[in-house]
Amino acid sequence: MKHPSLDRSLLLWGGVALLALGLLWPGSRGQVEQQESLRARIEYLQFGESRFRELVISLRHGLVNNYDEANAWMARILQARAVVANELAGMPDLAPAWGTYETAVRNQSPVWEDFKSRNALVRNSLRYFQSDALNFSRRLPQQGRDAVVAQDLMVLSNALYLQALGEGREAGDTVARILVNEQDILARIPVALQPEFERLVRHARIIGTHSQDLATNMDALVHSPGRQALADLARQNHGLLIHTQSRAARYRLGLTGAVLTLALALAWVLNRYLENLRQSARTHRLAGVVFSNSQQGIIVTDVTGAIVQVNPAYCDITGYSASELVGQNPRILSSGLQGKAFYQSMWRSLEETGRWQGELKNRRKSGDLYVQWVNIDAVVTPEGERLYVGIVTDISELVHTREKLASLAYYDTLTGLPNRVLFQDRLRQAMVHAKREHQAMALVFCDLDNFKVVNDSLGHAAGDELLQVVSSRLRQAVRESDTVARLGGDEFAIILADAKGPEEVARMAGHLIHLLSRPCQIQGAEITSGASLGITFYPNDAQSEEELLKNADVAMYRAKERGRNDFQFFTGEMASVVAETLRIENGLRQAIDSRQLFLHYQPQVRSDGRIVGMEALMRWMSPELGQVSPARFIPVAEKSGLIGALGEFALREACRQCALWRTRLDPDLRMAVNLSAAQFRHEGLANQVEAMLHAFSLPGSALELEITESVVMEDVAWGQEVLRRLKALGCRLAIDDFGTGYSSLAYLKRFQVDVLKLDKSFVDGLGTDAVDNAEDTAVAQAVISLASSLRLEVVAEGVETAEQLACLTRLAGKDGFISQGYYYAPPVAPDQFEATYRRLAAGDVQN
Amino acid sequence: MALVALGAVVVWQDRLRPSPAEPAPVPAYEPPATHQPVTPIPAAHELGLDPRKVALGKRIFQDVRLSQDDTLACAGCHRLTHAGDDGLTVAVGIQGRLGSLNSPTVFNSGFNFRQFWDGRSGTLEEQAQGPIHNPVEMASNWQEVLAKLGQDAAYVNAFKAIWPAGMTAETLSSALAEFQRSLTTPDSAFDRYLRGETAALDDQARRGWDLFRNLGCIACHQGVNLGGNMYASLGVMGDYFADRGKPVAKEDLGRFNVTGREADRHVFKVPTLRNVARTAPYFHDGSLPNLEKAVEAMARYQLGIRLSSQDSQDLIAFLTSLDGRRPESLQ
Repeated sequence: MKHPSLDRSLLLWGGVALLALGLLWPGSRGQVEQQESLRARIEYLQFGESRFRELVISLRHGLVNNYDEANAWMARILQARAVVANELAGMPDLAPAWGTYETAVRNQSPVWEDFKSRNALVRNSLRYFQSDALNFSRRLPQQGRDAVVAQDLMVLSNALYLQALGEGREAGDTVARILVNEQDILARIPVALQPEFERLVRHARIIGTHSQDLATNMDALVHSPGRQALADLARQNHGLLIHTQSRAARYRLGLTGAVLTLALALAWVLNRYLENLRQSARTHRLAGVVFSNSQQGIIVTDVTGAIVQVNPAYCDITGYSASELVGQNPRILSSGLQGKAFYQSMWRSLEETGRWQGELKNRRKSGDLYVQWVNIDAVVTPEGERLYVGIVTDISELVHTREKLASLAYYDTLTGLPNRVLFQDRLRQAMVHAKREHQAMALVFCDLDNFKVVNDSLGHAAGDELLQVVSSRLRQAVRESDTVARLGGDEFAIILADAKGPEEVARMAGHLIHLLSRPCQIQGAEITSGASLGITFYPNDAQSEEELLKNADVAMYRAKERGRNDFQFFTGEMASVVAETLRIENGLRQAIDSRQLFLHYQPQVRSDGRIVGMEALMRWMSPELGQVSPARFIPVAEKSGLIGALGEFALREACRQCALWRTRLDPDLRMAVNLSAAQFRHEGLANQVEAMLHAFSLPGSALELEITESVVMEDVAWGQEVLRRLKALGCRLAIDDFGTGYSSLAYLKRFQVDVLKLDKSFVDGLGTDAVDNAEDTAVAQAVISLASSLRLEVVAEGVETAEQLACLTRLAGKDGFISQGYYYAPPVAPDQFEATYRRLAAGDVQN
Repeated sequence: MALVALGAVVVWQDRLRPSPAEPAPVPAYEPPATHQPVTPIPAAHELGLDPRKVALGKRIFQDVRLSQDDTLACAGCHRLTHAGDDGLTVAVGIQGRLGSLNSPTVFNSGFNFRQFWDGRSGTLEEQAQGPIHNPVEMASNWQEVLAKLGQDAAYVNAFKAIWPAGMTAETLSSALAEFQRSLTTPDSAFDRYLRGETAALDDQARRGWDLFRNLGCIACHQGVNLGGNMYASLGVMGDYFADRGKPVAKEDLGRFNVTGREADRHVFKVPTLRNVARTAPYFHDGSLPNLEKAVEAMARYQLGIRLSSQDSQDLIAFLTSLDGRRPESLQ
């Protein structure tokens, strides 16, 4: 054996290991952190930009009338931009996309200022113009030569309204054409009215000059190229991140192998060395050099386990000095995490084979845990003394990496808590354990009460921070053996293994609520987030995992309903809510086949007395549940996927009936059918409608499809596509409950809607002395005038009295409108419909 | 050994890489997401300000050494015993020099989206240097001010205790700005009304609030400060400057002086209406002596209407309900 070469090879190994550490380890980690932080900031910017856009649109349509929040977002975007610019300094790959974004943001500021001023101006002028124009035209002569002026004003009013809605250029031309004749018109107006007219013209000019620019401003803000640039940036950064991460993972695996190989090689080398101890004094000296210079810790004990000698590396790892260790038992390092059985098997192996190797968790002098890879060999000295030589590598870092890799799949990256996958695994284990030990187990669902508020008002970063605070509070509150998991969003679940009983769990729940309702500092703001808890027990409340989860969920919702910041045990009565929903669901499944579902029809009558069609309304008479209102069963149907079958049934039945009545009563009758949100979202809707029309040989125009505003606005791009397809079939489109949701007026025209249905709630107050009469009249008038401008038909729902009808007739003027309501007829079964039709056709409205 | 050394160098260099810059401080006030046109103004203690900076800023705000001849403090024009302004038509600088614009109130100025009538400063920090350097106001400069205040050991120590950099133009501005952010006037009758205390407004003020919305005042005077969050053109429905009878001066051009855009001629920052009943005279030129005249002029030039005397009185009752409590840092 050539000792000098061994010496050299040892140093070489150590050098290679250090080099590997230095080159590969911290470099990639720093990069990952930088990219992660950039990702978070880009997400923040994206969130800010989209909230800002949303606000711009809302401000434009008067849904929000306060510039503060949008200003604040503009300021935050500028601030975040400065930070990102700083971080991007070392990442040239992202520079082009970032440059585009910076330019876009810079350009956005002045446009935003213009937008605010113009929006205030146009909104005010529009309102003055509308009310003034109406008052003014009333005072003008309605007949003879001067009636032209009133007519012009009407046209002008509508044109301006359209223009202010962003309906562009033709309207602008009309405005210009009429305003050219200002002097001409002025000459025909009584002198007393002239100042008023001039003011009117001034408002018209303001709208005329500014609304086009306002539309341009809004367009520039909403469709800023910055949005695309940010998305590009996020994508590119994500690409880099994935690249760096996978490289880092590869490096770490390689490194794990290298270090373990090194440890094994060293053990082998030292073993050979120690065997040679007896033979060579030179070897002895060399061993001394190796011993004190080795990067691995070396520990020598006698057969009783008392430490004879340790090397400096070992001292470095453990934090104890040599003098503190010699004479002690290595037990002083024990973390207590390995059981008796573990040590017994280790000693057995040493006695039987003379060696042991494995992973060991110990505690440093500082109290920190560390993980070491240990090779222990039993050796005999020349003097015949038996010793144990341990070679120790600190692999804490490796283990940490390994755990981190594993946690990507099982742990929530934000909070470090078990995710849903691991939670389900733990829940199964806990259930098995409880069953075997005849113990009870409690499952607690926890949902934060105002997480959404925090997220919406302070941004995602603040929301994330709040989730981290909550996680650590929950974690600290429960025992080590309990599981706290994040199921997603702001939902947490806690498994309390070995629950002693409801009292103890209630105490625990009270404690948790107390902890979570303590305020915390998030981004400089003091936030108090309460929580609502739902609790259920295994095996008392449920036998299966699914049931248990559903129970906890229902109990949690009950806690929320009862005013939040509270906990609720799952009770039998709650079981009945779950059961009720299930009953409706099961009932519905059979309802379609067993003809419990049917349609009623309510006629729609135009103001000239002609019956133009009818609306189909779904009814369900259940043998067990009695008459169930659509408001109750439609949501259940939507959730359970039954809506597809229900919708198809309604469509088919309505088409069949319509075809029948068109041959028997009036070939122009049309049928109005409601479409639910889920139906509207379904890809095959247009094909289905086409098939039905074909099956009953109906033209598209026989069918009027009713949708609510919110359904279309949910996803505007998709909504537009569906409506386009339905329109291509010739179907008429109606907006149901118009006025109750957030309508984006500008979309009405783009969506090619034919009918606005004025909601019953606005018709109710018409023609009475009720206090809100004036308001209802104003809404009704606005809808009717809007419909007239866009050339849409109006269907007034819930018309019950002659007064309401008279009022609507007055508001609608020559354009006319359609009414539906008890004044003419209630919804009736198909066999009564013909009689109702004939009665109405004969001009008899008294039903 | 060479390899070991190389490894060490690599590790060491890695540590030296600069850490990413910390984000700039977030603004003290985070407006709520709301559909309401106006929101109640928060009290100073809700804003998370640094009390040491506020106290220091308060002293500097009242220190005459900020002016060239040691006669005029910030508080000279922005009087803390009044409503944060001076009650004069235009600002009066050292040696009685006349400025050309009406001093706006410092109360609630922290909620303004920009500072000065023409919005040329983005922050209160940036604003501070304006009056100090203005020859018809304090007529001084940072160098002079720092030299004078630097002799005051109490200041030097107070600054050192807050900022490692000690007293500089930046930290001075920062202290002044923090103090001004503390000058909020919460709990006005109207704010209490907004919070649900319906009896806080009498019938007349409530009619005024309805008019304020229905006539369209609200289109510009909205947000937490009822103004101070956008620019608007003065004279939309009538030529204010032609009727005023005084020649148009450079100050009357407003934002045009900052941007040079024709569209910005006569465009000003919409001023806050908080405590408006106490901050006469009105407009950028201080030419409207009382609320009656100011309301009448606003209606005429911005909305193109003539108010009945009843409407005008109702609006004034509403505007008076915007008077808030004295700022906490002045109590």
